[in-house]
Amino acid sequence: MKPNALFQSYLSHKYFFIMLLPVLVYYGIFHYGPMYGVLIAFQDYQFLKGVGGSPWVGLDNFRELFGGLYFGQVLRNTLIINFFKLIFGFIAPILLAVMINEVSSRWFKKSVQTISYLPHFLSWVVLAGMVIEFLSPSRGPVNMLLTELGFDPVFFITEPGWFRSILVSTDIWRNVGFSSIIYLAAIAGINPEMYEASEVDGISRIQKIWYITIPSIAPVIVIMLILNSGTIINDDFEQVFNLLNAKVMEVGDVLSTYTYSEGLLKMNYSYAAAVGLFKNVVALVLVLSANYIASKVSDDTIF
Amino acid sequence: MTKAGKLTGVSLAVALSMGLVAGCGGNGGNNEAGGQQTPTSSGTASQQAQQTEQAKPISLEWLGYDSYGQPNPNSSVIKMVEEKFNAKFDFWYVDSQKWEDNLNVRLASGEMPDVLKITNRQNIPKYISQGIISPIPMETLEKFAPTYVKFLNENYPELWDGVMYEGQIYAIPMTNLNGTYPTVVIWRKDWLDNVGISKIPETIAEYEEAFTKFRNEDPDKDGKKDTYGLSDFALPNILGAYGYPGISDFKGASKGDASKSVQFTMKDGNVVLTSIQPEMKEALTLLQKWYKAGLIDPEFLTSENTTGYWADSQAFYNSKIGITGMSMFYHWRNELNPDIPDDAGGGQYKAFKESVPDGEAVFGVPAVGPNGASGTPMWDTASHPIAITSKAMENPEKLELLLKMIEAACTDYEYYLTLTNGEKGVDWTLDGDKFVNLTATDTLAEANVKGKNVLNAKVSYDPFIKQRDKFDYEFADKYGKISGYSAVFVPTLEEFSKYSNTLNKLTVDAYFKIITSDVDPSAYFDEYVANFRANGGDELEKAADKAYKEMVGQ
Amino acid sequence: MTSNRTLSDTLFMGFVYIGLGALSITTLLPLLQAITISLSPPDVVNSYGFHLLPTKLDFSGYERVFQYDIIWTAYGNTIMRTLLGTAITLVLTFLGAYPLSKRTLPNRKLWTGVVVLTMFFSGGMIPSYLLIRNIGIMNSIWALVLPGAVSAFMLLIVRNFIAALPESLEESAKIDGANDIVVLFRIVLPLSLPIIATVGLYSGVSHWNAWFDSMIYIQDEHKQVLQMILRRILLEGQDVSAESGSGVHAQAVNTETVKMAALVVSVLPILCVYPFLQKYFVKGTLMGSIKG
Repeated sequence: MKPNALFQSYLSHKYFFIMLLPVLVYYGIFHYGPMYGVLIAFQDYQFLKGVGGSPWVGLDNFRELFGGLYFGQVLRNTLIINFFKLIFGFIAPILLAVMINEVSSRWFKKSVQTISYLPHFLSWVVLAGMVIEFLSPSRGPVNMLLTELGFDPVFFITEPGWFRSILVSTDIWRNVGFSSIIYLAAIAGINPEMYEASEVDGISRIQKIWYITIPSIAPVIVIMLILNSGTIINDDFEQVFNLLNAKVMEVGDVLSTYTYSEGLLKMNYSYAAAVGLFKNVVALVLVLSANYIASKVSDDTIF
Repeated sequence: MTKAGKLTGVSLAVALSMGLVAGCGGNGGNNEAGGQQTPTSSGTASQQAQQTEQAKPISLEWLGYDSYGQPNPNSSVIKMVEEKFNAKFDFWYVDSQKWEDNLNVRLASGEMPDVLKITNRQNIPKYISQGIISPIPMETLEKFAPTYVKFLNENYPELWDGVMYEGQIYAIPMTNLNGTYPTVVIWRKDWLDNVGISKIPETIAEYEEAFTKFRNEDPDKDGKKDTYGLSDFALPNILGAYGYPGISDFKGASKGDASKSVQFTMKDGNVVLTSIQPEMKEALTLLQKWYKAGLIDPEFLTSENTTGYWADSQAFYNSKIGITGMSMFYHWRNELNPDIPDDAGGGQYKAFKESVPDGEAVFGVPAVGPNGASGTPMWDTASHPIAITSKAMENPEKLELLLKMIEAACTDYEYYLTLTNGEKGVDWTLDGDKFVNLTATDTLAEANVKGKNVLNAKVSYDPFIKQRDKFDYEFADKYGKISGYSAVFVPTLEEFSKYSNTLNKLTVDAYFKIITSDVDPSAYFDEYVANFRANGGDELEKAADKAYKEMVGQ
Repeated sequence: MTSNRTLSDTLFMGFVYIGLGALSITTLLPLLQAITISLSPPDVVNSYGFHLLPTKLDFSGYERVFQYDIIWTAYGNTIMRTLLGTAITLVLTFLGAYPLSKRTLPNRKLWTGVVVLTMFFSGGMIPSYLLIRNIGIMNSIWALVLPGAVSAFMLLIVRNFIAALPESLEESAKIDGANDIVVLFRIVLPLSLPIIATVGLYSGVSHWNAWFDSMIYIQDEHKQVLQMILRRILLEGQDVSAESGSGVHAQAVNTETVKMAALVVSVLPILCVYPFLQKYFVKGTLMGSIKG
């Protein structure tokens, strides 16, 4: 576009930019303003000297992070656990929203919606205790059933083979209801005429879901998938910390729990900033890649 | 009382005289006028000094407390202290659960209190290098707080080490009387009786016999084989029969708290790391045998404390195990205080009796091992020291005031009670010699809000505490004086923060694996030790030894 | 053909009802447990197994919670921040999302990039603290509602939702002479009610649950939010370190009963919000109303 044409284009979109202005000001002040803080990751931050006066240490903080004996193991755990959380945790709320949408009984629909979002409001401090109790080999209902059926009880929470599955499934269980709201909203936006037309063709419910509901909410699904791809590197500290035990360290210790105990000892901002920056760069790469792939098949990407 | 009365009188006189001469009622901000006028209206020099002080209170930004709750500046305790010392307190509130996060961000943005509690002594060098805290000359300490310094020198001389840096004192040590009593050993007496053991077990062999019978002879008489000997709380006690327990808190260490497994002790005159000592190999071999025999509850991995307060042992309350520990004498006090109506004993004893009304819980002693070693881990005898910040040092009166407050807290019993327990007559009274707590149900947060445990600057003066909690400490001296292990304090090391996380993980992995799996204990332990040494253990041990010897002047 | 369809539909609906029923039961359990413990004496709390229905009633937990007069102030503060914060979030998110949904917007990728970047890079606690102090909103409700007002995540979702609305409605309005702002209020806004409700709910819930910002920025106890007070009660006595290191032994510790009572008291109000918003999630009603 030539400069003049660009100017014209801005002029013709002036109302849009008037609307956009407060948001840009907001991002300028509250996000770009403090962003110089990322520099702390490359410094030995001194309280009284601030970012301006603290000495530069180059990549020392990153070397310390990557050089830890357990870093490789912890990074691998983080990626594996969150990859499965992403895949299953992404599909589950869509499935739930679609299922709720099929229900015709109003009270049942409302009750399921309200009840399924309850666990989101209880913190992991509270929930973890219940999960451990639920899976207890001596008194948990799961093992009582297993024993009843003639199997040996399994101490699931301390079995390396089970631990990641427990993390993934309890995470989904806690958040599925809450996450499904956005898809319910998307479904609510579907033009009912589309369903009316399909009635005439006499297609089954599953076909309706597959050919009408899913494609109609695809824009939301695609953007959610792209944005969530970054979460592969961001684990849920509260969940892992409260469920973690000595026997499953090697499969369950993740970046946040690992750096938490480091940070406790170190009172070290620079190290924490380096961890944060590392995670964010990885997340950015993931999101951009996901966006790139999605742009091949859909218009509903970020850019 | 009389003192306060006198002060009020003087301040009234000052206000009156200033009001007359300067023609203004308030004496708050206008010190110059006050200063000019005092000579004419007062006789002696000392009175003059007092009056100038009166006109200009020393203000202190106070973070010399645990800050479980935010003190109400108008509470009677705070008002009383302000009046007594002609001071004005501004309280910092720093969430006690997220202390470092919260405090650091404020320090980092250049804000500073005057009086700072140091929650983690490891941070002292960091505070010094960042210019946050200032050295306190010994002469000043001795001049303004002689009683307290004497108390420290006589009872806790080792605490000075923890607050020294390059030969200077950077904080005032605070003491923890409970740290002088090892953590307890609690047995199910009724179980011992049921399996025919009349003497509380003392040696490892006796422990083993009791555990084996607890496992196999149905001590709770419910006809089911659902009982075990021990779970995680008693493990350090067993390790202690062989030497310094390599892990002093299994739950804490497995949650990543390195201070629970990376500890130092003295051996042949050198500082050594406890978890890699060969005695631990023997101890772990025994525990593996016990685990295989079913004496250890497999659910020790998720701890016997499954809900609530940390000292609660649901496994013990539910008659699943026959021994517990980890906690203090006051948690399990099983003799009732006749002076407290409805006394039900210590909190955990009470919970136990509510769950098992017919059960009997008694104090035991740590297991004695084949070589005569025994003991449970002890808490730190140091509590959080109190420092004065570099900002506060700009006005020497502030340090003086802090020290005077500390001195007063250990010279005047009733004043001390007011600081720690609140207003006399409202929160507590004295019935003859006996201290009666009227608000014993206040939680730590509520206590702080009322101004309790705020302005004592963490001073915990043993003679006063023993006088106040006479029954408790007599009880403690009767049952709690068992053998215990306390760690050697080593000055802060760069190596500690660098390696301890990794070392803790290695230790937790090795200890749990040896106990719960079929690995050859001896070979696996040796492999662990080699690994431990190669990944920072050696470096840390050498640095600690060197630093310790420098500190004690060898 | 028809019977086949009916059979598969019936099977499918059976699956749906069973699946939803099972999910509802399991998600109801933790709350039931929390409520029961909040009503039970210590011996029940300490006994093994699940406690889904109270066996012995004990209201002391609630009595204790309601004794904390600070809870009511905190309640007020939380409600204030939730209402104000959600309002600000809704307005700003919409003002940002609508222009960015226009494919004709000049340098659209650049402006979107400006928003997206904030998802990944943040200066951390110290610069934010300095900012809040320097612009003079420390220790006020503005420090809680402004810094996180617009989430890039939500903005992009709203943007995509708007972009997926039928273009034809807007065009016909424009032909009638409406400018962009009029179109926003007359056409786009009503059609976007489901997503507004969603953003409002998500934002409201996150304000309700937030405590970290309040811990850092609010120093005055009377401006503190409910979750901070709740945390203090919930986490009390959880960790041995506080007690073993500090030398003060807990004179009294809140029991699980008190903790769960506090939890129930803090969670119930926000749970009641959702049912009121559910009417916006009913399929097709909105689209119909615009056209009619």
